[in-house]
Amino acid sequence: MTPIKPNKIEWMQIHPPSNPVPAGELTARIHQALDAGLTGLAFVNFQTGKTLRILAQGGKVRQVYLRHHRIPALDWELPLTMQGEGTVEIHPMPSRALMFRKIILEELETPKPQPSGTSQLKTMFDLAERNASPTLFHIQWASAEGFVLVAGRSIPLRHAVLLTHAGAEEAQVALDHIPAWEEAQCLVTVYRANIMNQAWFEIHLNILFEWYCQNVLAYYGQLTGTVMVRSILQSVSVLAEINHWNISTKDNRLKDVSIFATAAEAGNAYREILSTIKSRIEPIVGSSLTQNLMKQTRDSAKDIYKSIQEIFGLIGEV
Amino acid sequence: MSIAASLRYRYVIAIALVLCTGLYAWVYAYAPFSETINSLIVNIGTPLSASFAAIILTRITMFFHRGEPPRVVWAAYAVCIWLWMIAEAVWGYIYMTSGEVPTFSAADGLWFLGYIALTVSITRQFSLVFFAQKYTARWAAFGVWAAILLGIETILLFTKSATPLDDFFRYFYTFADAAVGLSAIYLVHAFRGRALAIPWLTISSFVVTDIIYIRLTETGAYDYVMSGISIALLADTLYVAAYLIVAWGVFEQYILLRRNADHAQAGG
Repeated sequence: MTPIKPNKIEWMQIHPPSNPVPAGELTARIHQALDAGLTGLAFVNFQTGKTLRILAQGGKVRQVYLRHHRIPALDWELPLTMQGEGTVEIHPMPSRALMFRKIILEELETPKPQPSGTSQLKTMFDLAERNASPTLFHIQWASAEGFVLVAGRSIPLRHAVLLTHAGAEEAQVALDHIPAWEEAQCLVTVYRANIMNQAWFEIHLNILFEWYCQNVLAYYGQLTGTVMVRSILQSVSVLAEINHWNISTKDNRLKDVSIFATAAEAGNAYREILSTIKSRIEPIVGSSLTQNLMKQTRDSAKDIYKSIQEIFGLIGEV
Repeated sequence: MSIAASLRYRYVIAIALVLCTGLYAWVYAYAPFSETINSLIVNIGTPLSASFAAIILTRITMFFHRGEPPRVVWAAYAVCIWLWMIAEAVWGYIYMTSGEVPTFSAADGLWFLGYIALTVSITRQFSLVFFAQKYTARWAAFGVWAAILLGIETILLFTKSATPLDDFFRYFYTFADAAVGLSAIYLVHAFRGRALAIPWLTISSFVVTDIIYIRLTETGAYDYVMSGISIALLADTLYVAAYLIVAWGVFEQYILLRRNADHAQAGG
């Protein structure tokens, strides 16, 4: 059996690390990747020992980390100039994987990876569904890497990303393929929700937001049909495009993989979207049913998600 | 379809429906054409107006895929109006060929079946509105039907009706209309008068027309003629108007779905 080395494939070398180059060259290479529409991570390892990570979506820089700390502004060129020489690696990956990466990056005490059988993964995910808070599994094989987020007992929602040399898989396809991956052994790092960690906070908000949208649109669809739901989703798409949010509306569901600068910004965006949905529903089914529907959806938030609703008020007073 | 275009359609349809009602009443009152043409217009006026509503309802049903919950609501509503349309045509045919329609005819059977279809539609709409209590609406519908049928049976027994079938339908229309009217008003209330309330609001128009018709026929006022104009004109025109009002109500729903389908498609 081949021993698995942690982090062997964590940085899948799409663009292998170069020899240290000057800041100007680093900037040029990153610009080149961004201009090519990078969705993924640019990792700079400075000679000084510091690291810089640039999270980008569609060639737009969404977040910058110096070591494990977010830089409030998105100006990544300044630290590059200040730190000098270094190596750069470009890692394209789906936006959802970037959201998970943020959790790992911001975790103050990284949990120890545990060896596990690939066949046991599904049981682990099922068990995590009993937790009150969400759980993130980071799975590493010799030739692939996977992330699975389980929302917890009150919200039946799972997200997954599988990164292999052949490419990336997401959602249900990844969820099906991860426990059936060809390598029998893996290393699993389990990250438990910690709302002291800003990235976790944003994940909680993201889960709650997608759950709310799923509920509201499902009920609205029951009353009015798919045509009306699609029309609302189209309005949300336009709103997302205007605001540069990374929201997709496939299969009559709303999926958000935006990288927000702060949890507060995420909260504002989600509030605005939910308010738009409400304003589109109300003229069709009336204020009473709309309020009922919003209230029922809001009341479906339990455990930690209830606290998140109380803090951020994604669904306002109804 | 843009908002401006849908508004234009609304105005055109509303004007067309008013003109249809006016034409019917004018021909009914003044018989300006030859006897055959007048008789044809007066007798096909009601089924024709019902067919407008039925066609629009059928088009609405097509907006929903098989298995989508609202499909049953609109499909059953469409079946109801188609059945009533055929009933009106049968009634008109009997009247044109025999000059008189018996108190109970094949048309009544079709109207009765139409009420069953309408019950399915309303019940489904109720269960969608009150989704937490799926079966309540179904049991309530059974209860209402049982109450109506048992109630009529009891009345017929107490009054020792000599013509039970004729009397059954006389009472049935009154009770069924009342039940439909109350249910529709409740749905209008649930939807707070917004877009989805309109089709249900308009179906209530039959409560008014049926009550007037039953009252007029029972008192014999239906056969009165005042200043050369028959009282029946009022009752019969109201029926045409009621179907056209339903047609207008469901057309609003059609426009709503069409506009939203176009809006959704605009984004690919």
